[in-house]
Amino acid sequence: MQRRQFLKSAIAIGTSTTLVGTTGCSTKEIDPLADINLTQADFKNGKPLPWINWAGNESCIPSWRLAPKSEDELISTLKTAKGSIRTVGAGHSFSGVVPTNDTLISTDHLAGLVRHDTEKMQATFQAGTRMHAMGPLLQSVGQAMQNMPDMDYPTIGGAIATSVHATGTEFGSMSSTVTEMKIATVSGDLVECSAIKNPEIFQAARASIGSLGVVTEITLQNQKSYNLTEVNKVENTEEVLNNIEARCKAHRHFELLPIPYTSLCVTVATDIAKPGDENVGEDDPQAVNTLRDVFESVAWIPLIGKGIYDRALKFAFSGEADTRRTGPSFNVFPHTRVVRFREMEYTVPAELGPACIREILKTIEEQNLPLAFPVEYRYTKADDIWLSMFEGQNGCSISIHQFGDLDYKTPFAVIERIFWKYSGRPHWGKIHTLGAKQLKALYPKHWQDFHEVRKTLDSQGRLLNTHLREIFGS
Amino acid sequence: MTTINSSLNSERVSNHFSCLSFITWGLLTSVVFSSYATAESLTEHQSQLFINNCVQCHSNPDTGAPVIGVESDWVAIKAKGEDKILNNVTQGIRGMPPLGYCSACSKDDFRVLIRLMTNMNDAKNDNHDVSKGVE
Repeated sequence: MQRRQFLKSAIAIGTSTTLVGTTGCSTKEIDPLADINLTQADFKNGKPLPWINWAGNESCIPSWRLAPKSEDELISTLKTAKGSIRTVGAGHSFSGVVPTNDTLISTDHLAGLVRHDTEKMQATFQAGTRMHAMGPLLQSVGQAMQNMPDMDYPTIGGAIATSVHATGTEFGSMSSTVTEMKIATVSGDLVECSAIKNPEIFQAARASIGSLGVVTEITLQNQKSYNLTEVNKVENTEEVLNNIEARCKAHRHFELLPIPYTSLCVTVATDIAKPGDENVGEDDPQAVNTLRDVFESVAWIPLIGKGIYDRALKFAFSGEADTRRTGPSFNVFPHTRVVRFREMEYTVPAELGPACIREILKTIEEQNLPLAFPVEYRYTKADDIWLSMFEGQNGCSISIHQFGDLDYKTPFAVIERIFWKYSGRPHWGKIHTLGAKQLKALYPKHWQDFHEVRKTLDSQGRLLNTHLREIFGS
Repeated sequence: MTTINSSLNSERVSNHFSCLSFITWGLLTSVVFSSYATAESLTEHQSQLFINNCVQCHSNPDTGAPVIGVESDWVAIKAKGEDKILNNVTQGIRGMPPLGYCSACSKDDFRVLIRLMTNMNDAKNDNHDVSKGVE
């Protein structure tokens, strides 16, 4: 029996069961846009178009929505912009980094490859370039990014602003591959920075949450273009965690996705492609929805529901062949993402990763938290960027997801406390509830340095919105 | 968040967006424009928005999104009418994110892009709202 057919059978078993009562695993459905004060009537009343983020949990109605088509136009825009100014790329952040009811600047038209240096293996992009466009553009000049996240919808500007990362113990975040940047300040000046030119601005700009100005150009250290092969397996979570160091060392990139309420995880190992590597199987972007259906169908059954879920998945995945994807790196790193969710991610010191994920999985089960979505577990190499989650320490990033139509605040609040216990630093673009006081303690070396640079470039705080004022304490 | 892979599922042709080069985008755009000769002309601004945003999913059968140029994918959507489609685009629907990733799009941009992609040349809607988003 094929995996999906079997899982559908499990759903049928669960929904036909007549036992009464729940385990507490029942899920609280919500309107996917419940966090947003918008209705469809907005259009019929001729009201302005709202801005809404990818996850549907952040929104605003900007009075001025601008999309400059050149650096000169951007500078003119900044000189005349009114109120709080924020910049948006793809709008993929889960945190409130974008909303402003004043001036929203889109970088859609500030996109493309500006120049490249074959000798240095570097390339400069306009900051509004979507990451999915970068791979083919770089390949055309014989280059490729050293590493990439598992989805490529964001702009490079947004990715650098929030210190986006991928996985691989020998690879830093995306920000760590930046060698130069150009920034348009709120006063209309263009500032170039690198490790040599304006080095303090450079250290702040590589993870600035868009608070220094509008980044117009970003130069990346790349490498010669290359092919990868990704292998996906279903394994026992404890066995993988017990051997995590060796597993990471054995591969160019390695991550795991433990499935809550089961002993299983999906492992993703990615290496340079070898001759003869072939695709086996296909990506299934809807797989998490199947998991959810099975979980909701059987997990409510008193006492035995979660056991049935675990056994159903074990049976479904037993004997399943590995899935392989091979091809140019920019095709293998990213995956299609069609299931809407909300995400919280913290990075804990790498050596604490296994203990932290174990406590999270145990807590989900013990407290019957309605989290069926796989948890993501990745490693990133340390860097020296002032507000990078990886500043001064190798990091283990653990991501908790909730389906877009289910309550995320309650379960996330429980898990967030575990992250705090392990000195976790929140991802700037994902959901968290920390304020300036706690964040300052997590970045003791350079918190003050960062804000001195920020205030030099934006003395009036024009680039701050409600969220940034909360996290910066300004 | 990595999607879980499966050796089962889709029989649709895999055509991952990331394989698309700008050259391919150009070809696709040409095909759409020539196929839908009666569609409203796009401004340069709207063409750029179309390439940056719409194409990434609506050229990729793996996303489950209706595919540009496949008439049958759009029949049920066209039946909803332009205003309803605009609501869905703005707020997102199923796998489609709010605004279809396009933060730079005004209402008028969305209406033109909707007409282009659905080939809704004869769109008539009693509740048609011509007000622009504040620019």
